[in-house]
Amino acid sequence: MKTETVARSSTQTVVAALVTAITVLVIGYISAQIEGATKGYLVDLSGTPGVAIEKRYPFELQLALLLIGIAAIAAYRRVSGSRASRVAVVSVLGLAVVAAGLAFMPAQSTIPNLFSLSAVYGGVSPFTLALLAGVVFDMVPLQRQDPPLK
Amino acid sequence: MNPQLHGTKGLLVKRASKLAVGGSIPLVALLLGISPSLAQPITPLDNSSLVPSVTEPQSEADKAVLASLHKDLNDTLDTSTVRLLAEDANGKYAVALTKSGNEVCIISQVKNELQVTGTSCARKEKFAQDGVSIGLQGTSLSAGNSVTYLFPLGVDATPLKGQSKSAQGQLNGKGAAHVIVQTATNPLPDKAELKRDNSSVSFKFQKLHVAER
Repeated sequence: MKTETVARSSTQTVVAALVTAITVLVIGYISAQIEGATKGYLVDLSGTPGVAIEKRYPFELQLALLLIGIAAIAAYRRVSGSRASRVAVVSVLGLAVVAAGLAFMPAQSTIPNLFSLSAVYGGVSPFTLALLAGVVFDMVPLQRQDPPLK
Repeated sequence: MNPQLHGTKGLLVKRASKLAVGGSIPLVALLLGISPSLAQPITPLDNSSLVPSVTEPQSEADKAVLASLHKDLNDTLDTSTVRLLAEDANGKYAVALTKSGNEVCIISQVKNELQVTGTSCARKEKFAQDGVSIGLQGTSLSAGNSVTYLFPLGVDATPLKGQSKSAQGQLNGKGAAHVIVQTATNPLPDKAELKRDNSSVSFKFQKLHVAER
């Protein structure tokens, strides 16, 4: 029974880390496309500008980011009961932010593929930083004092 | 708190979370899918769609331009892409890509004893939007200050060429249709909207001002 609980907990931790990484990649992909649309191009599968377009503000991509935020917070709430999962989420987000920060300038001239582009843009995105800030804050134990019942 | 109420609330929160996660993913995929179709395309950013001359074989005239370039430019430019586009009595106007292949460069070379050469590069996506231009000024220039503009393939520069037929009429070469040279004798309008062949998005020409000497 105990072994089963431990196995379920470690699976949840791995899934939490994996979902966090995928979330960062999707945020990065959307951020790159938003930048492209406002500057007048679409990013193709090679991670480079593939088609020039009329400059526009992509409201639909902003909406997609908002939905990802909602989904990410909802998913986090489901796994946040386990300390290991919370640590995994914070670690993946932190690692993504630091790695992207280090790789951002060199990657500007030599983006090898869409995966790297998404990872770099995801890591440096203010949206990811906001998620990281929220999750870090959530790890701080709060002592609540409920008012006594009358 | 009533444990039954707490249980019902917990169930509702759980369902809302499931809905938020399960509902958001297909919606995000849908939004990502429709996003490109909401954009108005201008042109693909491959070489043959922007500057087809760089994909053609290098001629002797192209090699002559390459040979006259300062060796420092060889570090920046992909020398195999240097192509002479046009020339007139005052200079030669060529194109090249950078070594990364991400930028289109215009090369403006003045025909005088100093062989003053100017280059200016723009990333392909910027080039597709605005073209690329280079301004040359100095007392050694026989034609005075000049600005050379290179437009991407498909931009109809006829209205600008019509501004001064006498000066532009002298511009010869396989890429002359995409090159405009602005001199004191060939003034251009400050702004102009040019048609594109395969896009409804117009090309917004903006004149580059250089100080008069």
